[in-house]
Amino acid sequence: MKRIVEHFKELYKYRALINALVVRGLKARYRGSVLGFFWTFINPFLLMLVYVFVFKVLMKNGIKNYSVFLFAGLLPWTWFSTALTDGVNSIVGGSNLITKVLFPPQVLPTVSVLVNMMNYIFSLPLLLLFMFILKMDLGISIIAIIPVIIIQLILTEGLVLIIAAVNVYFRDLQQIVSNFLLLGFFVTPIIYQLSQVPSRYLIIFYMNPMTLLVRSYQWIFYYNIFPNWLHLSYLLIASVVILLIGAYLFEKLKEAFPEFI
Amino acid sequence: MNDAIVLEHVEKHFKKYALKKNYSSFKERLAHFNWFEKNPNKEYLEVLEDINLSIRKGSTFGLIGNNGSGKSTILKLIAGIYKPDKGRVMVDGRVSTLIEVGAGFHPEFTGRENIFINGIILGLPKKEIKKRFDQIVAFAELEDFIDAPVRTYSTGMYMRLGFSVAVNVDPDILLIDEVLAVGDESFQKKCIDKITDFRNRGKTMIIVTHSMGMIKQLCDDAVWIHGRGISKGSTVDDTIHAYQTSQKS
Repeated sequence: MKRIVEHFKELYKYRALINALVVRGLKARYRGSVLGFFWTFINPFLLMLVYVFVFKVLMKNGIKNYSVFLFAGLLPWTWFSTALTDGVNSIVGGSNLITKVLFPPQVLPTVSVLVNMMNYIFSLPLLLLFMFILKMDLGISIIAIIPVIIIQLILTEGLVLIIAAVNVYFRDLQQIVSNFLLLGFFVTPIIYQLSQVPSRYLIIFYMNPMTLLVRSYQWIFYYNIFPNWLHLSYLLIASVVILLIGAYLFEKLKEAFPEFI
Repeated sequence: MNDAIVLEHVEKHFKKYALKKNYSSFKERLAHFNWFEKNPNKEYLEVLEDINLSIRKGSTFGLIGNNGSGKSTILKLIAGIYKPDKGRVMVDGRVSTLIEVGAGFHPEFTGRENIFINGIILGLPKKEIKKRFDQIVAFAELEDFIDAPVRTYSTGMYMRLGFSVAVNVDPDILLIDEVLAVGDESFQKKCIDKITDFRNRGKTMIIVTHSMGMIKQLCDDAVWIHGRGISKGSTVDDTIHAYQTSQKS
């Protein structure tokens, strides 16, 4: 327990470093490109055009205002999946820092999560623009976005701590994670509605923590209602447990990081 | 306490397989029919055994020895990057490491941006970096290039910038690993001046180098690390002499 407290204390102590690395991570992504920061909007926009063409035009799925529905779930999924792909490699990829300078290694996976969270937040104006164009209402339920983002942050940080630490010793994990994320994308109701899923498969969706998060974003932006607080509070508890497990495991494994990477 | 650094009965070993790889691959297991056995590569390599060392505050301490003798391992133990397998490492004061210059530089970012990030990584608050910024740039002689991405820098420029940040962090204890062979003669002279200046201000330094001349010039104490242990003559010259004699035989 003391170790877990220490884990978070160190993160707080090194917040200036985290801050600097997050800013660098955001800038680095598009550094040297002509359009620069605009890629934050262009990338999800192009991705959405592809999905709208395939699922709305070709497959005629009949969801009204599909672009907003899709965006509401696709953007947080991008945060989640990119954080995991960046995060799984953060310790191994940060070897030139970890073996040369003394600083708490949990900074690196945390930076992966926060960079992608900021990217998500920066892409929200695009979603709001589409809602405006399609004359969709945005009510008071928008304030629910804050707890939903916080829950996703806790969940993602916990998972990233686990996979980043384990990947140092078991490098196959990065391949496994990317395959799981591809699968995860299709068993999360992002491109379709949960009501379209046959009931015997629903169990898979309920086991997937991203289902509730993605639906919460859809409730807020697409249906303009508050998310299910009861379910979210269960998810919050589960996420905190995952975070504690992640911090514990990370602390257990981190001493030997410099020797293994 | 008059010692800045004390090592007591320190032992460090590395798992041999960690030096190669930390697993035997599935392919190897299939090929050798040891499908479920424990990792066959698991052996230990003793690098340091029962090391006792105390380094006085304000002294400049040299570590000499062959490649692979454990000099850098001792530095990393002092820096806290490695934990000893046995024994204790006690350090009194803020440590700055020059184990590799420019660790954490990002090629796409300008010299200016990298100074800030590197300074923060080395533990200096942003305000302090701002205050010392001009000094850092002037020392590195990079006034004209400070707003260019460091990927456009030459190796020498890169090293100068890294060195300049690390020494301007103003630590109590500076660990220097074989990085003084940086830059041209005039820059090397500047580095030595900086180190002398450090010494005059009562800072503790530990220098790892193969240059015996530098040890003679700078250090007031030195040990020779060899085959897991350390030895030391009564003077720096004695230690160097013992080391050099061992090299000839």
